[in-house]
Parts: sequence; structure tokens; C-alpha cells
Amino acid sequence: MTRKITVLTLGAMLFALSLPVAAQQPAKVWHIGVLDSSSSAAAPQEPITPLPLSVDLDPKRVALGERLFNDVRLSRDNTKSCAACHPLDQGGMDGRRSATSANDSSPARNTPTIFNVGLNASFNWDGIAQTLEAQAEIVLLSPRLMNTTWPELLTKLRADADYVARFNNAYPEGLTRANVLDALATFERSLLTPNARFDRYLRGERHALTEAEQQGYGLFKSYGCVACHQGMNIGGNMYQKFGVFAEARGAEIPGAPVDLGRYAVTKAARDREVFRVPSLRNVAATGPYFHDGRAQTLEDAVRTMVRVQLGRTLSSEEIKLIIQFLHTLTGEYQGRPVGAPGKKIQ
Amino acid sequence: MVRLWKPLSIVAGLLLLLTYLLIQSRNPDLARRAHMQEALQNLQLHDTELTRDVLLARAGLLPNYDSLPQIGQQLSQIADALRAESTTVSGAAAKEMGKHAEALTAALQQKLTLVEYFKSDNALLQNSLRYFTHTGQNIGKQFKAEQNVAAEIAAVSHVLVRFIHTSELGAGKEAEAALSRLSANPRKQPGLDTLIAHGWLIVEMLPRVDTLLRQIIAAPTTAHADALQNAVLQYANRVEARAQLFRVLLYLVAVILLGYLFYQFARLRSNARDLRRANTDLEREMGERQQAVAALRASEERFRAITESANDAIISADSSGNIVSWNARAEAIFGYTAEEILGTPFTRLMPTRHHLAHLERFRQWSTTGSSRLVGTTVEFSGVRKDGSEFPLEISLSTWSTAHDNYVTGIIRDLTAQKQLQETTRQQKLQLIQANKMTALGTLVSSVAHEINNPNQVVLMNSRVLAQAWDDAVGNLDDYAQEHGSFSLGGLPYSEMRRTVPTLVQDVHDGARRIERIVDDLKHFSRPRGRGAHTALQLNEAVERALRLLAHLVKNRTDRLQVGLAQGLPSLPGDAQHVEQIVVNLLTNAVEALPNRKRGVTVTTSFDASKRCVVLEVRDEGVGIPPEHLARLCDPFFTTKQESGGTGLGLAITSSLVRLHGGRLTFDSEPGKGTRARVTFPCHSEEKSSLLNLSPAREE
Repeated sequence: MTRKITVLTLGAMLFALSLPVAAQQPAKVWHIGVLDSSSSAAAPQEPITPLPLSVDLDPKRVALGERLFNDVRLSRDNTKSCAACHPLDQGGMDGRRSATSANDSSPARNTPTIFNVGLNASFNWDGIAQTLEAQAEIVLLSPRLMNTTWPELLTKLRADADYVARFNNAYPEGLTRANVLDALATFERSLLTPNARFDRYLRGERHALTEAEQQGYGLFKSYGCVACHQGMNIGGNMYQKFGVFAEARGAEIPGAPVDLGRYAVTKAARDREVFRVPSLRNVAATGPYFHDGRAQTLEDAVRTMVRVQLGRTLSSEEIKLIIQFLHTLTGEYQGRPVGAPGKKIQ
Repeated sequence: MVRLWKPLSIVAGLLLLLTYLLIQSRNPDLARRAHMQEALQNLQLHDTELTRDVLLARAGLLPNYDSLPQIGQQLSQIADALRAESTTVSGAAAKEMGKHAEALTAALQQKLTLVEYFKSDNALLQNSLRYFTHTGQNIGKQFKAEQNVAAEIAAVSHVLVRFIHTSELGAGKEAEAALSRLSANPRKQPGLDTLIAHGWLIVEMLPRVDTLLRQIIAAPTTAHADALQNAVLQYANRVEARAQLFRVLLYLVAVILLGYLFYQFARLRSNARDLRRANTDLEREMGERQQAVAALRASEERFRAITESANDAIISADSSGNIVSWNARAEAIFGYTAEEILGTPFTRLMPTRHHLAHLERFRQWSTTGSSRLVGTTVEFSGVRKDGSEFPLEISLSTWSTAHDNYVTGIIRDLTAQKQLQETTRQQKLQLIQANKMTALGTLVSSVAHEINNPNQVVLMNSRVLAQAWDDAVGNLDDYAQEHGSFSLGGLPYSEMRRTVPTLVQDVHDGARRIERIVDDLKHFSRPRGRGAHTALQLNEAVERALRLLAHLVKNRTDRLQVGLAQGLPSLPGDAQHVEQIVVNLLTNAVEALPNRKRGVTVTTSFDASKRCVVLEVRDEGVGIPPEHLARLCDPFFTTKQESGGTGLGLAITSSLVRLHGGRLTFDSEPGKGTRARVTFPCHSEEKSSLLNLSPAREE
């Protein structure tokens, strides 16, 4: 008996002594990061990459976000939903020249499309939001937009048993502020418009674009448009001064207050009249153009861009070619081409 | 128990200490350290990636900017995570780490802002460079006609190309000057304007972009990351050093515990050895004890068997006088069961009158431990449960245990022995009496014969003398008248004449008395014939006797009660003898009465248990003094000497009773009366056996 106890005690002590040693082991495991070399390819690459054909998101959260997106209860007076300004059947924006901006300190701005918004690096014309969640919260709380408050909104949503059940189903924490924002953002990330003809071309389908359209793409590249409108979203990943070679302001909309763009956010001198470079995806279906919606047509927009941004003058032929190219950027949402404003997709 | 607590508490304390040290020796920040270092590694990797991509972009080799915001976002996330991580650490290390994390975040934000600016400026620069390299140089061809302008354009191009490739400040100045000269050209050509605009942009942007690039590369993110890493390492080292210290302590305490356990184990072994030895001793002792117990039990059984089967009562009492042992014989003798008597004082067993003396003796024994009674056998009297007293013989012995002193008495009931002694004594007395009577009878019969003959002479002669006197008196009177008074026998005749008849009568009476006594003596000493041994009825004998004595009884008492039982068995014997027995007893009874108020009772009865017929004669007379009771039946013992009792009546009665095999007993209370009781056995064999003892048998 006594001997057995001694052995057990010794065993326990050895075990106890070995524990600190064992606890030290993980410290020796060293995480080795691997440099991502995909972006550093030396071989010439197209500056534009096609949209992914599908996106991996939690369908429950996407569905919940969609329901919230279409729910007027997100506004204080139960009149507006997100979809009111971003109708998905009309190019994901309201088609108006300008609307109330999410940035209270700036003048009214054109409503950008909600499609492919998840690919942008920052949001709003001035990049006031760095994440979709932050952007959504700004819109919800803005007195000029949804004008709601969190207690009010959460009370309203919690009164709906269906929401509570869905949130409980989709999130461990259930219906919370963070999860409302996450659901909205997740839904917005799902709003990709793949299968644009240009994307098919990029994926190697040489005949997806006509000769003229291919020429237009060439001009787009060689005239420097692509210097800013690059990447998967053809823009949306940087800021640029509006009016590099010529004054952009004042000429088109007389009497309008001067919109200082990103300056309103950073208060840095060099950010005056700097705006986020918008995405050109679905550009043919998402006019009018520019932060103040001054350009009603693509031609206007291209001409303005060429003049004030590129410091060039292009022939009408060239502009036509570029516009033809821009039309190939219209993708599909839920299997249907993204509709032009006023045109209902059925 | 107390001895057990001490080592247990020591071991428990050491184990608690071990546990505490074990917990302390774990490095809780190992995971955090690993996490933070991983994050820092990732941060530096991404930071390098960012710098790389910026450089690629500057060289125009980055196809698009998509990677830059992605990397920026990752860096921001990592920086946030690091900041959050460092705030969870406590103490001075946290402040240090927090400071570095804040600095790192700020530097990173600064760098990212620079990158944003770089992207904007670089886009313009790249556009202008592309224009200049692809388009601008061809513009000169449009101005072939104007050599001047073409030369200027060539100069601008040349300087710009140099500037683009070297980024020298001097080349920039030259390019500015060349562009100014070109701008000063009054000839307006759209292509020229564009060229000039882009040229100016290049001149303006190139240093800006390069400055931004240098700033981005020089951004102190790496320095801050290193500082943070150092802080993390320092912190981790401190924690680790502390943990190491606890580990050493843990080892030391473990060694102490082990040593203590070995010590206890050694003690345990030695104790176990002692215990085994003790156990062996104990087992042996137990075996011996069991044998002893068995022997004791056997001895006890034997003792009990002896005690229980003993013919004597064996009773033990403790020093306080309570009975503690009681055997079967004691129960038989005293009548108490063991349950009744155990634990009660032994004085219950003795007559009340002896209690005090006994208690005194007992106290003496219990205090001094010795008593003169111990070891001797004494006779004593005891009391049974029914209260009857009886003689006993007791021998006392004492013994003592560790707890108490005890006294044991062995008691023998002497009742039977006494009775036997009494019977023997009676028989002896009877034998003596019989011998006495035989001798007396022989003597008396010879004496009577010798006396009777002269007495008859006296009697006869006295009668003759009386007649002779009667005849002589007339003559003597005549003589006296003639001669006067004369003396006769010394007395004057006149007196003598009155006295002589009396004297003769006295002689006659005396002779008669002698005759009667002799007659009685003959009756006493010799059976008056064997009589007819016929079956007789006691009641008839009684009635005859009553008739004979009716006159006497009537003279002496008014209260005669006769109670004759009916259906008495007949007795073998002589009716006349029995009648005489009754007469004698009745006469005695009547004569004992002091006056006529006192009564006499005569009863007969049948005692079925003894199979005998009983005659009782009770009087309410003067009674007999106790000292006389034993001698009542002795010959010549009389209290009626003066009234003419010969002292032979009861002796004769007694002998007659004996002749019939019966018994004669007397009870008397002086002043109250006497009871005479005669029992006649009905059994013929008894009669014959008793008859053999009869002292009066002749031949």
C-alpha cells in the first residue's frame, strides 16, 4: 500500500515538474509569413482584373442584410430604406444629379452605385468611411439621411420577432448594433456584377469585345485614364484631384457651392478638391456622373475627364471608341445586366 | 489522531505550495507574446510589401493599386490588434508597450497617408510620363518647319528625360527653364500646350513623388516595430525570468516534499515493523488469553455445575452486603429465585432480631477484612421466603477481586437434621421410659405382692378391730361408770372412746389406700389382660365414659360440649382400655376446672392425611406450667397429692395409649386451659409395630 502511494506521489510530482516545460513549447513555434508575390509580377499585366464570378459569404447574413437593406424601418420616420437611394434594379443608385450626402459638412453629391461597393478601398466621394460598416452607420445616423439612433433602431428591430429569430440564427450574439451593420455590409459585399463583356475578354474571351471596343480599351490605357481607373473595380482604390490640368469647378454648375472634397475629411491643404476616384464598372448604367452629377452623358463625362484630368484634346472618334469600351463594363446582377436608370429590369 | 494531522498538514501545505508555484511558473503571457511577435512579424512583412509595391508603382511596374489599400488595411488591423494587445498587459511593461504600439500605429497611419498621396501624385506623374514618352517626343515632328520651336522641344525633352532618369535638382531647374522658354513662345499649338502642361507636371510631380517615396521608405514603422518587439521581448523575458524563478522554487519544494515523503515513508516502515512485531506479540497474547478464557470458562462451568448441583446453598455477597451469587440449592432452601434475590441485602435471609448484630459483624469484616467467623462453621437460623425460620449451618469464606471484597457462605439446612435428632432423642427417651417402666413394673409387681399381703392383714384386722371396739365399748362404758374414768393408751377413756373408732377407721382407710395404690401399680406395670382386640368404635367408648362420669361432670361444670365426628373408622383394640383412657382424661379435665363457669369440650375426628382417629379433650381449667408438660406422664408425678392423686393416672393412660399404637400429647397455656390430644392409628401394621415397643409386655 505504502509503496503504491509513494510511486503515485512521485509520478504526480514528475508530471507537475514537466508541466512548465510543456508550457514553454509553443513559444518556440515561430510563425513565418510568406510574401505575397502575386502583385509583383514582372511580366506586363492588364491594369484591370475581372470580377470574381462568385463571392463566399454567409447566405443567412446576406439574406438578413438584404431584408434590412429594403426595410424602411431603418429610417426614423419609416419612409426610406437603403434601397430607396440604391435601387438594385436601377443600377444601384437613384439616377439623380445629386442627393443629400452622407457627409454633413459637404454639399449635395451624386449618389454612387451600390454595386461592387465592397471592392472599394474607401467610401463616399471624400473617403470619409474606410469600411462598409462605418459607411452604413454614418448613413443610418445622419440627420440628412436615415436620421435614426441606435436605441430607436434596435428597439424597432427587436419588436420584430422575425428579425430576432433571424439574427439569433445568423449570429451567436443575436440582434446587436455590430451585427446589424455586419449584415448590411455583408449584403453589400454580395452585390457584385460579374460577367461584364470586358471581364469575359480579360478572362481570355478575345471576341467578347468588338474591334472598336478593343481599340477603345487601348485608348483608355494609352491616354492615361487607366492611371487612376485601374484595379478590379476600375477605380475606387485611390483619391485624385479633380481638375489637374484645368479648373474643373464652377464651369458646369454656376452658383453651386464649392465642394472641397476630401479636404472636408482631412483638412489637409493638398486634399482640396480631391475626390475618391469612382469605379467605372457599370458606368454606362449609372449616370449622371461626377460628384456633383454635372455630366449627364458618358460623352460629357469623358470629355471633361480628358480635358481636366489628362490635359488633352481627343477627337470625337476617339471619344466614341472609349465610350464603346466603357459600355462593355456593364455586368450582371442576379443573372441580368445592370439596368440603366428608369429602366426596370424584369 | 494528532500525530496524523501534523504530517498530513505538512504534505497538504507543500502540495498547496507546489500548486501555487506551478500556477506561478506557467508563463501566462507566452501565448500573448507569440501572438504579438507573430503580429509584429506580419506587420513588418506587410510593411515591406507595401514599400515594395510603392517602389514598383513608382517604376510603373505595378499594374494597379488594388494591393496597396489591401496591405494598408491589413497593416491597420495588425496595428490595432497590437495596440489592443498591449493594453491588456498590466504594469510598467504595458505602458512601455502601449507607447510603442501607439507610435507604431501613428507612424503607420502617417505612412499610409503618404502612400495615398503617392498614389495620387504617381498616377499623374505616370500619366504625364507616358504621354511624354509616347506622344510628347513626336510633337517635335509637327514643328519641323519651325526649327526654333523644334529645338526648344528637343531641349525640353532632353532635359526632361535626364530629369526623369536622374531626378537631379539641377536637371529640374534646367527643365523648368526650358519649359519657361517654350511657354514663352507666342505660337500657340494645342499639342505644344499639352506638352508644356505635362512637362510642368513632370517637373512639379517628380520631386514630389520622389520625396513622398523617400518619406515612405524612411517611415519609422520598422523602428517602432522593433522597439515594440523589444518591449514585448523584455516584458516576456521579465515574465519568463519570474516564471523561471518559480520553476526553481517549484523544483526545490518538490524536492523538499519528496524528502519529507521519504522521511515519512521510512518512519512508516519502521512503524510498520514495530506494529507487525506488536501484532505478533498481541496475537500470541490473544491466543494465550483465549486459552485462558477457555480454561476459565471450563473452570467456571465446572464451578457452576458444582455450585448448582451442590447440596448446600452457596451464597456470595459483595462488600456492601448485596447478594451477587445464588445457587439452585439456595433457591430450594430459601424459596427466593436468583432474579428476586440478586442485588438485595443478604439480611433478608436472617431473622430480624439478628440483623443488627450481623450488620455490625459485616461492617467489621468489610472494613478490616477479617472476621472471626471466617473459616469456621457455625449454626444459625435463617428465614425462608414464606417467613418461616429454620436452623442452618453456615461456613463463611472471603475472597477478593481487584474491584471488591466478597464473602461466600455455604449454608446447610439443618431442619431435617434437627428433626432427625429430635426423633432420635424421642425414641431414646421412649426407650429409656420403656426400660424404666419394665424395671418399675417388675419392681412394683413384686413390691405390690409383698405389700398387699401384710396390707390385707391390716385391712382385715382393722375391720376385726372395729368390731372388737364396738363390742368392747359397752363394757368399757360400764367399767368407766363403775370405776370412773380411767386411762386408756395414755389418754382418758372418754377421749379415747371418741378417738378409737376414728383411729381404726384411719387404719382401715390407710390400708385401703395402700390397696388401691398397689392395685394401680399393678394396672400400670402389668397389662390388665390382653383384652379382646376387637374392632371398636371410639365414639361408643366416649359415650360410655361420659355416662360413667355424668355425675362428676355435672358437679364440676355447667358447660360440657361433645362433638363426635360421624363415620369414623373402627379401631383395633380393647374397648375397655379406650374407655378408661377417655375417663382418665375427662376426669383430669374436669378436675382442672376452677369453677363451674369453665367448660370442657370432647371431640373426635378423623385425620385423613395421617390416617388416624383423633380424640381431643379440652378444658378451660387452670392449665399446666410448661415445666410440668414433659413430666405429665411420669409415674407418681402429681399435682394433686393433697387431693389424693396417686400420680399414676396419666402414666396409665399414656401406657394404654401406647398399647394402642397411639400418641398422647398435651398443649397447655396456664390460666387458659389444656388440650389433651390422642391419636389412634387405623393401620394394623403400625399398631403391631408399635405394640412391639410396648414396655408393658410381659412373659
